Amino acid sequence: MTAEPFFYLSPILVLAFTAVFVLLLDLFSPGGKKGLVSGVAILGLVIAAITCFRLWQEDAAFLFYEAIRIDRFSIFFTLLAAALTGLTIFNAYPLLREKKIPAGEFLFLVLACCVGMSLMAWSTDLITLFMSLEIMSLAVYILTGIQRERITATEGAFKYFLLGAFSTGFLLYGIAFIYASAGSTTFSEITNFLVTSRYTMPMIFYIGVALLLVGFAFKIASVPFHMWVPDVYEAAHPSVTGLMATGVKAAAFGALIRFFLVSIFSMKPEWDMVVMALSIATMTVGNLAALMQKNIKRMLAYSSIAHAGYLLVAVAATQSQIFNLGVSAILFYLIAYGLMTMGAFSVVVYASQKEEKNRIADYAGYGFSHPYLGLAMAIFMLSLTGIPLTAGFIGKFYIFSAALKSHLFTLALIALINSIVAAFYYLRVIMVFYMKEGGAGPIPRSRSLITVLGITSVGTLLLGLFPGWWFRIIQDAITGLF
Amino acid sequence: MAHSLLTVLICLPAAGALLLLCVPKVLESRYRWFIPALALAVSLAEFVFSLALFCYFDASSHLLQLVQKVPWIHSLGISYFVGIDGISFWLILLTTFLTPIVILASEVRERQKAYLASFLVLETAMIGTFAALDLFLFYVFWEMMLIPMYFIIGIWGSTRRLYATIKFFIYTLAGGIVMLLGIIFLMYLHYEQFGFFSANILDIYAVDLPFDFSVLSTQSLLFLAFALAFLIKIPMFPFHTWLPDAHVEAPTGGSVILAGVLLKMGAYGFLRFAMPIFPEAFKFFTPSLIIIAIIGVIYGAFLALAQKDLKKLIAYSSISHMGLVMLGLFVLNSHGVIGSVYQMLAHGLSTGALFLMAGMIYERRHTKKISEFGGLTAVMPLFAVFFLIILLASIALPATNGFVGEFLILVGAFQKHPLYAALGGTTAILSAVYMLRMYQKVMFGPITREVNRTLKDLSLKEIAALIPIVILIFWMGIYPKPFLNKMEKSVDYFITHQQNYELGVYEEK
Repeated sequence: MTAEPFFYLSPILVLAFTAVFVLLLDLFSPGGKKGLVSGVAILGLVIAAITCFRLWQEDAAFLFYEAIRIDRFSIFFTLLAAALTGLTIFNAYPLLREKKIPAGEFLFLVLACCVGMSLMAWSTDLITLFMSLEIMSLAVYILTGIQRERITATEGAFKYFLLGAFSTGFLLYGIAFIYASAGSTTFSEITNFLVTSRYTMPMIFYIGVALLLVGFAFKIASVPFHMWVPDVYEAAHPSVTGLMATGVKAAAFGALIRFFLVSIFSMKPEWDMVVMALSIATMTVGNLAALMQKNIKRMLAYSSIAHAGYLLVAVAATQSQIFNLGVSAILFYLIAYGLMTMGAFSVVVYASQKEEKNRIADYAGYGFSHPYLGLAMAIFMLSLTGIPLTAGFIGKFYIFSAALKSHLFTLALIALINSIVAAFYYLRVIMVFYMKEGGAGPIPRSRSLITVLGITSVGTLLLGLFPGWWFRIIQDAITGLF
Repeated sequence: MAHSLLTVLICLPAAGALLLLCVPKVLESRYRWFIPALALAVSLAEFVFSLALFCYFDASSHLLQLVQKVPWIHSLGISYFVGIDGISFWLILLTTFLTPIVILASEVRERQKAYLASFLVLETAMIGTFAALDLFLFYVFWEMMLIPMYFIIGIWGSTRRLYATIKFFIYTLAGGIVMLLGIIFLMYLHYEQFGFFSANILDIYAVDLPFDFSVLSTQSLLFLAFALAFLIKIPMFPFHTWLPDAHVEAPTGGSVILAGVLLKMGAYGFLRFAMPIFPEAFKFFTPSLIIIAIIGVIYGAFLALAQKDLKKLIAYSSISHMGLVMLGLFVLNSHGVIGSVYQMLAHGLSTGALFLMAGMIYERRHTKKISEFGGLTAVMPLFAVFFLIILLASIALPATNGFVGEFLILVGAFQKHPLYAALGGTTAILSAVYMLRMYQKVMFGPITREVNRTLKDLSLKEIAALIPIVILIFWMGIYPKPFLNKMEKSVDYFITHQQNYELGVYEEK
């Protein structure tokens, strides 16, 4: 075995090594400084990112008999996962420092989750896909319930685990069906199978694809597989929820693009209608339910469901003539959505440092008593609404462009009505922040949280002001797919 | 040569807002006058800069002038592209003229810094909207206006402010998003026909849009998408319901800017975008548009007749007047359009000033109910004089600016069809009825409430805010030529070439 696989695998290896190292480091310094351990974790993420940059210039390569593929697309998602994980660690830092949750375990799980998320976008084999999905999911299940003393957290973790295991069952069952008909689990073999037996496609292949779609729909929190989302998002600590809402969803979309939009793209007409129906249901249910919420975490949970619906619009709109536009709309939206949602959860983390602030009404008057926090939240909410000069607007602009270009007028119209409905509940948050009177006590200043808020809010604005640069990177990433 | 004057005009207020927000608390609490003075200085500097437009603007050309173009999102052909013609020239001046007045007259003490900064940000957005020559950029500024206005109504408004501000936001956003779909589709059509993306308005004018005399043809649908956004913003019947709420709840400054400038954006949108880009569809829809404009004129006036609240009355009167502006625009002849642009300026000044004065009286009595007043002439003679002048301008008395605009519009409407002029002309009668009745109830008669005896007359600051408006009202009413001169060429070109509009960029000699 040459050194080559090590070079290609370096980001994953660095991440996995850091995960284990952090666990050991914490073990050998039981009362030690938790800042050091977190610092090591961040350092690991930075090194992984640097290895990613080195790989960016390399040609795409398959490894392990086409089990994984290293190309710019996978590197893009690794960087996204690493960035979101880093923000999560910063978000959770006050908790770790005060030893409210075990630092070693937390960091290990977060990094393991990062490995899983990255590998999801790397996999070009259904088995690798399944394994990486499990690495990610198991880590997130435990992270949900890591605050053991909170009964709701345990309940949420249990609920998540049960439903998650159930959906993984669907996924695995689907893989079995596909293997049974195509005779292979690698994506390229499946593509070949589609070409050679276009007219003699066995029924079980369709069933397999449908089951696979169910598994994905669960992970991206698409209606009707969304029931767990509000409960789990509410149960977990907001820093963990931030990772769940952004990273897990992004990784699932990465894998979804690889399988559904590349590997079995030729049979898109057959599953097109399903995705459209899913997207309409997801947007509508998500937005309507978010309107009713009084709890900010539940509101953000339903909003994340709605955004999955917008992303599915772009998936449905991706056709061969506008493949580039469709996929780049998805990738851009994932970055934008990651920044603004992570930021919004970070505001919740910031405000809940002393005592939990879960009701939206708890935030009355924050806009003026904590001007920077209020400003950040206003930016995130406006971005989630899709107001110009923010990342969310450019993201929506591209999704609408893709939908119109592939003549999905009805879908675009429904997305449009939905984004108007969504304005109601996002604006209500700003309204509570700025226009309701309320006493907000002093909140301890946390430098790590300020870092997160700074990065996410400035990032949201930068993406909105200068999207061109990002698009070039995304174009590069997409060329890696083929 | 690339001019950066417009860019300076767009950026200066926003920079001023940032500066304002950076003022340390110490300075703020020690010198209470500092914040308003700084905001006023910024807005006055902006006004002085905008006067420089006079030096650079060549009134003998209909082409786009002071153009600046910088690529922004290259892959979609989106650029930062600004420039003005004779119409946007005046609207920008109207904006820079009204903002210092609003800031000067502002009585808000609570969270003053944020309040004044909001107005400066709003000014940036408004000037940007009037100067934008790229559809995408136009949309960006169009929506950017919502945010400061949302805060202005929502934070500094009166009791039902939350309801009013969300209604305002959702109405405008709904129209805006539909327009966004239209914009994307236009860009896409341009790509199909020319092989590259562009959101540049000059390129979009050249796009060939299929039209087959039905509502469902591409051009009609696109026209409706744009028209909806503009109709909501103007606002025209039946999309007007957000306006009275927003006006009643907004603080004085918010009402002034809303009535003075924001409402003009819809009309400007028709002039710059909806009518020239979709000429056939516009022709197809002209009868229905004229009908709703006339309904707006009469319905708004009747609603104004029934109002017991001072601000609501002015709000409905502005629906009626904007209906007339649109009538002038839709008849599409030289008198009508030039009158309509002129009336936009006149209405901006007179209704802005009316709201300003309603605010002044509200500051003194904390009520806007007409029945709470009576006999104020005796207590506040100066106020009475100013109020009368502005009110007469609003009902278009000859020698005031309202007369010139209204007269031209009615002449234009008459040329199209005498009936239009007859129906549109009712505004002259009805507005006299509701305005003068209101004036009579508030100003004349015996003093019915004891509190009203002690009301103070206008302060020096308030007079300073009103004097410039009054001067302009008479100037524009008695000698309108310099104002008409600047816009004439653009309006002429608009009328003669509406069917094949292709504005070029002005080359300096």
